[in-house]
Amino acid sequence: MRRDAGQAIVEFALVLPVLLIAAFAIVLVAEIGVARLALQHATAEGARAGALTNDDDAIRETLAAAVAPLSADRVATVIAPPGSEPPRNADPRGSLLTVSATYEVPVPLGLVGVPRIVVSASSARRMEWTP
Amino acid sequence: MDALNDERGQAIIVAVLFLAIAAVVIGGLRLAQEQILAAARERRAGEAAVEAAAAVAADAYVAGALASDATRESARVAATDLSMRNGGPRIDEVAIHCVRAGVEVALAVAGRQYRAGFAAAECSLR
Repeated sequence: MRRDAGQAIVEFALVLPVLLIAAFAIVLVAEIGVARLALQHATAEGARAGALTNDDDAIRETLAAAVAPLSADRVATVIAPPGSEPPRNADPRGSLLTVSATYEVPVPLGLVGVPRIVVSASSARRMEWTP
Repeated sequence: MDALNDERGQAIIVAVLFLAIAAVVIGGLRLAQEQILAAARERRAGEAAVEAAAAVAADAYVAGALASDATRESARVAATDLSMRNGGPRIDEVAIHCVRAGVEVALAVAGRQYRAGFAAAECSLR
């Protein structure tokens, strides 16, 4: 009287979540890689813009334009030193400018147990701008 | 006949195979990403380094000290500083040349050449 028909379907239903999590992990790893590369490129472009213009707004605009395909709204930028502090508010030529950015990778469905994934990058340039 | 029709455990085998493939894919992705990122980092470091060296050379040109060994060393130190801050290696040598109506600064990072220059009507390294 044993009936094995349908057993595989039941088993598949049980392992399906595991398969979906594995597929999700592949996509997430790829997304993290894209984010790291985009942030590295964006901070380099931002730092270069800052070295040439000494303008924090130009740095942020350049970074936002270069960070594609990431959403610029999710990118937090830190410029060191800021334009309002020395040496940048005087004659900064030759001094160091560092542009850092962090991006929180969105985790679809907010899966339980998946920690916040934050990617960061930083680039430095010597200031070339003169007053 | 029961043995031929038994479906028990088949989904588990498929799942294990899929997980093994997923693990290989994730490992491969990570490896490829690290290589791409390292290459990009080196390129950015080289660009930042050569621009820093060119800025030092430009300042020396304005001061009339382009030909001195101290200028070349200062340019190398500035290039190394920027390279390392951007995740690149130490710069061993910076070359400064007079080219047609300008100065060209060149250095190598991981075997790749980087050049930057500026207009200089009276370039002389003597």
